[in-house]
Amino acid sequence: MDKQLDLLQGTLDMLILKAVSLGPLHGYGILLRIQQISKDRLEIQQGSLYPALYRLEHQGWIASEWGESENKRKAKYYRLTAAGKRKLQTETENWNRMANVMAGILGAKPEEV
Amino acid sequence: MTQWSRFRSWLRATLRRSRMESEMDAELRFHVEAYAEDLMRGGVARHEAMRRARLEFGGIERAKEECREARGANLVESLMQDLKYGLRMLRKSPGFTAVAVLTLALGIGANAAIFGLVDSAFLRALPFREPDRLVHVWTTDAGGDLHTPSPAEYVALRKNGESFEQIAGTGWADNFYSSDDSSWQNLSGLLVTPNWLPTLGVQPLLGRNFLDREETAGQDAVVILSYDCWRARFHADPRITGKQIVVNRRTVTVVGVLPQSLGPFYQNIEIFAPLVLDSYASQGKLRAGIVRVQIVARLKPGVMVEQARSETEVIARLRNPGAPSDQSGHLVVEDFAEEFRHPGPTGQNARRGLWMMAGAAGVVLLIACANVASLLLARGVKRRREVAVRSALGCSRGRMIRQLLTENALLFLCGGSLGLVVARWSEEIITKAGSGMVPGTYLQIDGRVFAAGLVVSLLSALFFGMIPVWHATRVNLNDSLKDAGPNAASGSRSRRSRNLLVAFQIALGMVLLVGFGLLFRSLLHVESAAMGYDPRNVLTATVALPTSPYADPSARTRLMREAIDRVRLMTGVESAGITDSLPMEGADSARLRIEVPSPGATPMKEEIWFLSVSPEYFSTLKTPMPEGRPFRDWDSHESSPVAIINQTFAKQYFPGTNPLGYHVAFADSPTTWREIVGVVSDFRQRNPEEDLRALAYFPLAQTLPSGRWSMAIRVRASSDVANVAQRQWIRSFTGNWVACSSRFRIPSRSPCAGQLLRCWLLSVGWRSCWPSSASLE
Repeated sequence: MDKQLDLLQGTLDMLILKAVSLGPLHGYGILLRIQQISKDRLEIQQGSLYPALYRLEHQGWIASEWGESENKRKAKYYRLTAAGKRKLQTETENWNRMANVMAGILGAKPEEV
Repeated sequence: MTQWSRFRSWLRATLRRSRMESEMDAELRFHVEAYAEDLMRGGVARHEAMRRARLEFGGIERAKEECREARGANLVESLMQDLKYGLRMLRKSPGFTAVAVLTLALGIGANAAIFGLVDSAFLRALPFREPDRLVHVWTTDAGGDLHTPSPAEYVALRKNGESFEQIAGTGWADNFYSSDDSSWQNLSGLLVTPNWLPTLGVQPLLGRNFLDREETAGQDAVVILSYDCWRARFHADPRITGKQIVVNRRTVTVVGVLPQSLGPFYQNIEIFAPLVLDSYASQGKLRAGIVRVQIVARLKPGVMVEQARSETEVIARLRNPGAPSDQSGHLVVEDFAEEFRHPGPTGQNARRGLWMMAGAAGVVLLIACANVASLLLARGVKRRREVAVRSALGCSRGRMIRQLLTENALLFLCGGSLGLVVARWSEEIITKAGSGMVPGTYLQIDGRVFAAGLVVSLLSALFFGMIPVWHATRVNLNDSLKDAGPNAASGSRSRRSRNLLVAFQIALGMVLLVGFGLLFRSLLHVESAAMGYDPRNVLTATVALPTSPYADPSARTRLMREAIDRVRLMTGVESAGITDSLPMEGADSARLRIEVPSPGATPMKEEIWFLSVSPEYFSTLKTPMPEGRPFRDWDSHESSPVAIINQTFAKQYFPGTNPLGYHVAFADSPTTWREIVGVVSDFRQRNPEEDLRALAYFPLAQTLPSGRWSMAIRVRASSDVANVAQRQWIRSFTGNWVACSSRFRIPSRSPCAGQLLRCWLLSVGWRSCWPSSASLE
């Protein structure tokens, strides 16, 4: 297993939006899904997940409602709103552009300059 | 949209605090327990699993706090905290707090008060429903000048006017009111048709409007009171309607009270009674000739003023078919609201004065705020250490700014509320002073004025409160913490802003000082301007006679003669004179034909103010008479007609010529030439601040004396004033049927109240500069 990476500043929001875009999830479920799709390569502080969820809900990008968990317990489920979907899309595009630019810069070789 | 949902989520978090707390608790517990269950599934013992789950989650309380922060749920709580802390800090330095609050109270209170006046004068919409549809209707004379129409013209218009939804008429009336049956007061009143209030679209404040049947004689024993009359004479009795009062020796029932907003439009009118058209029209030639009915009408929806104009034109032509070429007898429709929006030159002057005062009040506020800001800056230096310690402990700058700003806003709000309270107390004085400048303005601390005070407080807190906060929170931690003395670190930056603020204050103070000096000079000028008469030791009484026993002018003249003779015999009385209008009361005006000095030229026609006076009038007022002679007792009905003019008249119409021996005549009796026998020195007949105007005087015996006249009585010493002012005397010679005005002295100062108010304001502004010396150190 690779060494776990610390999250880049501001990327947690994107991860959460992506995770709930695949279907409604409760907080713990979001954590598990991020770990699952990142193949355990990202380290997420569990305590920092909830303030981020509250913030995103406050912005209107995700919405929450109470439901029943897999083991028949009351849990709060989050889902992506329409505004959240748009947000995720623009953030994804931004990220890809940025990553390309960064990759280009970091991959520059002396003879290319 | 997102702003709204954010606000909703904040509101939910704030208002449903406990629900959000329990949900948050449940959510986090679920997380930990679900994690622990996963661990247990991996074979960890339950106890150990829970421990590890909690450990990996991290500080639960911190997470909760961050969640609350994300929702803004803490906003209110931290605001309360800041307020509490702010109050504590203000209490800790009572001297500083007192100075700052008083300074701000002056500034904000003055502004709220002036705003109230300006609001009542210009900003408030006209208090009538759809004022654009309201019109006045005038009639014209042979010269084309506008006059108030006659009752017959009113009736004709009411019968035939198709463009109008409502046509209301009003007439003037004297009302003799007695509160205790011993002395009578003459209150001016308006007779109105029952459709007058509906035409204006005004609801009575209390009670009801007149009923249609109350327009007929015998059923008209009802009155509506003006707001001021209700306040001043009936102590704002909330159960006034239905009560009976005695007006004109007749018991009438009060049926309503008008709202205060009508005050500026119907100044000084205290009693409104139904206009009984027949008896009003038959009152005959009481004063300047003909009884008049002022017409105010409401156009039908969609009817233009031009349409109404052409229709009244037709109605007028039908009334006098004979004289199409003459200019007289046209009915002219004028926009009602326009007259209030575009007042004459005197009105404009007064308005300019009020705006100027508003400007001065603004400057006072700026000075007060700058003052407090520099005090706060000085205090900020002392609190540097506190700020440094807090930021060292991890308090963010934004949070600190919020706290200090809250503290300052608290200070400004305290000042503002104190100012409003003081303004509320002095409502009456300020109303008096304000209406001395622009008639009809009033101050009433209502929702609008309150809101203005609040907005002014908050805006100045935001701007002037921010300057010191900005500086206080720009701390270099290291330096501040190391410095031992509390005053050691007054940074050069904050010193510079303080210097700027002080310079700002001094500059504004200078502006005010100069303005104050100029105003004070003009005040002295008004006070010392040759008034043209000596008001000291002069009493006045206004008398009004009923029509019936004194219908004959000669009977009235005889009565006046008798009154003067009696008064003159009273102890302490030096002399007494009679006039139809006292100084400061204005006068009637009429078109006069004035002989032109060059031979053969046609006489000029001019609208001139004129008064009828008794022979002793000028000597009683001690008015100098540079040319000619006063009226004599022999200038009677039978002798040749004479006139006296004032100096302005002489200068305007007889420049470079001695006017004695020339003649004037009333335009409506052009052949009765009246010889000018004297010139009296000028005095202002209406208002001590107005420009001098030409005045003509005629002997009472040669003009039609009206039923209402005033007596000026000069007593020998001021100690005699009280004796003579016993009103009993005047009842003795008129068989009980007279009324005295409540005022027993010629006013010499009160119309200057506006000037005094301006001076007061400016001096307040100047005085409020002084605390700044505290910050000069």
